[in-house]
Amino acid sequence: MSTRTSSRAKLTPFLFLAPAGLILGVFWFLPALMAVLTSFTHVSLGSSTDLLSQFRWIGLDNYLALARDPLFLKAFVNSWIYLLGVVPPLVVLPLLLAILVNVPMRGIGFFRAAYYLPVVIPIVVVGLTWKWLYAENGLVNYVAEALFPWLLQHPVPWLSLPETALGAVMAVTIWKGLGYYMVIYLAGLQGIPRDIYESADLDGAGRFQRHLYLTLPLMLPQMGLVGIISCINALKVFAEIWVLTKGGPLDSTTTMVYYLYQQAFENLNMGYASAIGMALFAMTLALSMLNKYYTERFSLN
Amino acid sequence: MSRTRIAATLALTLSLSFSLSACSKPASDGGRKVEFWTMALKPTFTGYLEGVIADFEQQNPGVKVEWVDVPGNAIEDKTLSSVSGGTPPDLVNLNPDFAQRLASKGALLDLSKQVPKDVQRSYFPYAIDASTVDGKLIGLPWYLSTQVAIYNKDLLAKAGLKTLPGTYRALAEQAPAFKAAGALPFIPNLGDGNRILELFALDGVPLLSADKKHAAFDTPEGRDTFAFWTGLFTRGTLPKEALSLDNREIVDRFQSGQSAVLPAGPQFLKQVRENAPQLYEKVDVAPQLAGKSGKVGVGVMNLVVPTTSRNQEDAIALATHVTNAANQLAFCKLAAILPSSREAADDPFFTPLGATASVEDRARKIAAEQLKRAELLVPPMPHQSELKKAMNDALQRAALGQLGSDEALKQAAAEWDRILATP
Repeated sequence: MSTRTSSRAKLTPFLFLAPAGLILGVFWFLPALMAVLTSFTHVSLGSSTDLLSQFRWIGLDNYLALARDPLFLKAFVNSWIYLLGVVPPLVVLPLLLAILVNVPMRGIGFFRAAYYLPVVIPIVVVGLTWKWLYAENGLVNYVAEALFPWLLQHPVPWLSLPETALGAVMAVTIWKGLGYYMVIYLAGLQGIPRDIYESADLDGAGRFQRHLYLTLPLMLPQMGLVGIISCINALKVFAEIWVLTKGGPLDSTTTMVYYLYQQAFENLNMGYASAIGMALFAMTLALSMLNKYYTERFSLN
Repeated sequence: MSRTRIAATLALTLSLSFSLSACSKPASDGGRKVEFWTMALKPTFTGYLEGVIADFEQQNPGVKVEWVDVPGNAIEDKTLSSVSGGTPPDLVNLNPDFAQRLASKGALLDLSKQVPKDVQRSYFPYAIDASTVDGKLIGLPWYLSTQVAIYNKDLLAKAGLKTLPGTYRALAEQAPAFKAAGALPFIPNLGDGNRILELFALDGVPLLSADKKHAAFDTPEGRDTFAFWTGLFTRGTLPKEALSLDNREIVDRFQSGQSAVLPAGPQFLKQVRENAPQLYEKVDVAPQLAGKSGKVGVGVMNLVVPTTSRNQEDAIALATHVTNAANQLAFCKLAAILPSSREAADDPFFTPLGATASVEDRARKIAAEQLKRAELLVPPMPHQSELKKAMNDALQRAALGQLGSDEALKQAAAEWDRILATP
């Protein structure tokens, strides 16, 4: 009797876990496993009613082709330029915004909402709006010509030149992301006990010194979190590029995910696209681990 | 758990998921079911299509049609995922470009033997060409569209023109006059991958050699065509941003009075009427702007049957029913489209015009007249998306001044040869 009860007791937690495990297995792990397997195959879509026969095992061929593909190399470089261009501003600027809106005064809610507004606007609307702003007769050129007449003698087609397109897309990403990361920082700032600042005031610290020696070190965990999230988001950027430039001009805004999309949905090379996905996964994982390691290390120190 | 057991469990899970996804769904009443996907027809044409389907079901007892309307911008992705997931629709409305890509992967049924020859002959030959890949009929043509020149009479008058020049070259020569009136003569939809290829064909420049293994456009005639289009950008006739504008943006620019002529299908007039009613009053139509050859291009929409459809016979019967002359004519009376059926195109609906004919009626008449001599400018080609990209890259390099026009075209030809040599 006691043996039966004991085995039942052992089984109970697994029964509770089973529904979640089943959902995870079917909707998370199985597709991921399929993507890994697909990356080692050549796929002939819908050529047979027997799905398995559509996959032809080709070993590492997709990965070897990736290593020789100049477009993948370009997409890889573009992804890193994009990441290095958007992550530092997205770590620093929202913190400054959060500090600005973390003051107890009437009407501050308006500013918090205003900075957060771009986050809730659908990316397609954002893209279309910025396309108008970036047009040769758009507001960006108008303002730039008014402010820097010596620099811009002619209107710049921001999204149509390989030299400016990626930067223009980065600016939109930063603009749209500021409010989201600001909220994370704001939550962190409001968790800092006021008495720490009061002590610093008594010690004669100025506003700049308080933020440099107190706010910054205390916000390091949040900065690490924002760093990780914005890195991952930067590596998997797609919507902004799809709406604004479609990867052009001359592949200057083709990032890894956009190239994956092109291979999968335009060229219908599912196996090759899966190999790109695996490369992206490896990069994202490595970057997240590195980021986590250093954040924890600095936070502890 | 041993490694063998883990491997066995994994294999079982995978095969189970495949088997589940491959199971067919019979109609709820036990009869045969045809799943039919259309592109953005609801709610405007719900009544029409339900009527067509009801007729089909009446003529084919035991067959139930399940109609699914998919947004135009989602149908390619949705078709692709359903085909790769093993649960495709039985009949789906696609454009020839995407249909060709699917067919190149063996995903579409060859209808050439299953559709009777007299039915195949009832469509315009170019419409059948647009649905033929490597000698296989991969779909039945449904509705067609030919471009007309929709123009702003006010801007034409401001530019000092009494009539619309009929060719792209003649219109481009008037660019300074339009510029003085604060507009561009036209904005070509070069952001659409196929357009530059069509512009070659409009000038009578062949794209591929007879054996389809080499590029055929790097000739004096091809270089002249390419130089004309890239020169519009390097000379400042058109702004650089026009290189990447999509169709919607080109219509927006026309509606806001930034360009004088909109080369587009007659169906775009409805959009202008709804979005810019004041401009609509100043709009008129003329035949399609021509290239050097005088050819007229046509756009085709197909109905295709995926290879893995579980009810191919009824799907083909439904495709034949939907695209027969009577049903196409009824559809054309509701929408600003043209029929692929020759019999339907001969109907008097497309010819006579009263004294008070609207601009949309005139556009329909011009478009229908063009149908008789229209051609498929860019027939389906192997590796089409890669070929398009190579040509668009060359166009952009030359238009942005990175390369000379001739050199960019030479590079495109070399790239085409490389792509075409790929199995």
